[in-house]
Parts: sequence; structure tokens; C-alpha cells
Amino acid sequence: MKKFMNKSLIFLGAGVVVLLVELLILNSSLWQLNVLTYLLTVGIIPAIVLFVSLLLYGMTAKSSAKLTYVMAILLALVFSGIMLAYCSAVVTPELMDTILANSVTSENTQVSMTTATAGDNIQSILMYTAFAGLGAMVGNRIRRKKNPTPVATPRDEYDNE
Amino acid sequence: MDDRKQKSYRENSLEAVLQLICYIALPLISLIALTIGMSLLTTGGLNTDVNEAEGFLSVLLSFSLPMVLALAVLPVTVKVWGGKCSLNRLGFRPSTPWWNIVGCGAMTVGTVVLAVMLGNNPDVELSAWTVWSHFFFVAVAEECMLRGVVHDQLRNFTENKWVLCLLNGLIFAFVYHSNEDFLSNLLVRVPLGFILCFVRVKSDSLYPAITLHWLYNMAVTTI
Repeated sequence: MKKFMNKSLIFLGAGVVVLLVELLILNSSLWQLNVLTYLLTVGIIPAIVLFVSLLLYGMTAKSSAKLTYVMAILLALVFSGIMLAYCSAVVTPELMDTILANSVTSENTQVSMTTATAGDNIQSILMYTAFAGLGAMVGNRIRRKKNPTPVATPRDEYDNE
Repeated sequence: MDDRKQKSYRENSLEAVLQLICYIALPLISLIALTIGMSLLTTGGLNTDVNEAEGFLSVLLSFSLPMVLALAVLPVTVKVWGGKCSLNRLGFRPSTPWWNIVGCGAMTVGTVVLAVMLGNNPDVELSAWTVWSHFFFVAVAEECMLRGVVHDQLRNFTENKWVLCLLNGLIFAFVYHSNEDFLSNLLVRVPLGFILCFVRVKSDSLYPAITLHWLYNMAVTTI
């Protein structure tokens, strides 16, 4: 339990707080978005926040690499859950129509979107897990470079037998 | 297995799972970004539907090129340079047996015949040779990604060819064609992915799987 509850967990909590603040800010300007800014704010920024949180966690955590990866998967699921709940609560067909209308800059421009399917939810979970996992892996590598694990002494070898 | 080895094994297998997810998801994200970027650059608008594209160059720049870059060049480069994996292991064999070359040649002739048939169809908006070349790039990109990089990553978990082919078919259908309906994925794309992976395993090369995929796409569009 002590190994699990270390100060590095603050980075994971901070990641969730940053995401919630971003969504709060986004709420006020949701009707001014176009397709690109919508993809950026709903897809890319949360993924970057997740990556940075796991990177900092991986770099500073004193726990094992395995625990870092488990935390990465868990936080990715939390982020996906928050984003799915947010999108199903806030994004309405009227809002999507407005976002599409905002995206049309000239008469020649055509923009079309299709409604999300179950597969898109799988892709969003995979995307968040990929960003979280990448952050955790890079963080772990940096930590290992900074604090290389001591080479096992002959005595250690005998202890394991 | 002693404790230290067991711990290291668990860490490595979890890392391998995360690496697999990265290899599956990150190229898809770069594909979306590149398609949007190229569409904005070439047409000034946002078009992510290949059927709406006008002309060979537009299809090549907005759809074929992003696909090859995101699904073939990027993951293969990362796998070879970062993952220390040889091109041979990914299926890019410099020398292939004669029956592979004959098979690939026959299937390529098949795609040409289908393109000629497609050219006679007045309902098709794009030119038959645009479709033919685009499907070639689609086949190269998807095969490099799925039967090259993802297949090699899956080999970290099992060497059983049936399990490998099944997993590959499931990823091909439910991740790479997630916008299609569940039943068509289950009944068409899972078996197709399975067969393409089986061809890859049996021939130990990517080229037959690429030409078979190309032939399948042309056949579905033409017939």
C-alpha cells in the first residue's frame, strides 16, 4: 500500500483536474467550434494531458514498471470514461450541425460527419491507452537512465537460489 | 522461474501489450491528421471521403499518400530503427520463391482485368485507374501495418499461427474497419484478415498478402 501511495500520484490527479478544467472552459465556447478545433479540444488535448501526466508519473514514481503500466491503463480508462460521459451529455445533434456550419468557409467546401459507432468508442479507448502507455514507457526509460538498477552482486544471486 | 525473472516477465509482457496498442492506435491518429492536413493543403476544404475526391492527383495526395505514410512508412521505420527489427522479419524479403512471384503476377493481372471491367461501368465516379492505383496503396499500407508490424508484435505473445491469424483478423475487422457494421465485420473482414494473415505466414512474405488484398478490394468494387 505504501508503495502504491506515493507522491507521484499527484501527477495523475493533476491530469484529471486539468482535463476537467479544460472541459469546463470548453463548455463556454462549444458553439463557436469548427470541426478542427472540436477534434483538437475533444481528442488531442486530453490525449496530450494524459501523455504528460503518465510521463511525469513514470519519471518520478518509486513503484515498479509494472505498476506504472497498470496505472497508465487505469488512467486511460478514466479519461475515456470522462470523455464518453461528457460527449453523450453535451454533444447534441444541434451542436454538431452548428460545428459543421462553422467549418464551411466557402461555397466549394463540403463537410460531412457520421454518428459514432461502438467501434469508434473502442478506437477512443485504444487512443487514450496508447498515449498513456507511451508516456509511461518513456517516463520509465528516463527514470531507469537516471537511476540505473544496481548490478546484482554474487551474494544476491545466492539469495535467490 | 525465480521471483526476479517472473517479475521481469510480467513487466515485459505488459509493456508488450502497451507497445501493441501504440502500434495499432498511433498510426491511425497520424492517418487522420495527415488526411485532414493534406485535404486542407490540396483543396482548401475538409474532405475525408475518397468518393468525394476529384481526379487522380487529388486522390493520390489527399488519400493514398497519407495512408502509405501513416500506416506503412511511419510504423515500419519505428519498428526497424526503434524496435531493432529486421525488414526480413516484417516480411520484406528480397528474394522470394518462384511460386510467390507467379502468384503475385497472376493476381496483379487479375486486378488489371477488374480495372478494365470497372472502366466500362458508367456509375463509377472516379476513373478506374485512379481506383486501381488507390487500392494498390491501400493494400500496401494496410498489409505493412497489420501483417507486418502488428503481426510481428503479436508474435511476442504466441507463435501459434492459428491464434496469430485469428487475432490479426479481429484487429483488422474491429479496429481498422470500426466504422462498418458489426455483422459485416464479423462475417467478411474477420475471415478476410485471417486469410491474409495465413497467406503472410505460409509464404513468409508480405507481397502475396498485398496482391491478394489489392485483388479483393478491386473485386468488391467491380462486382
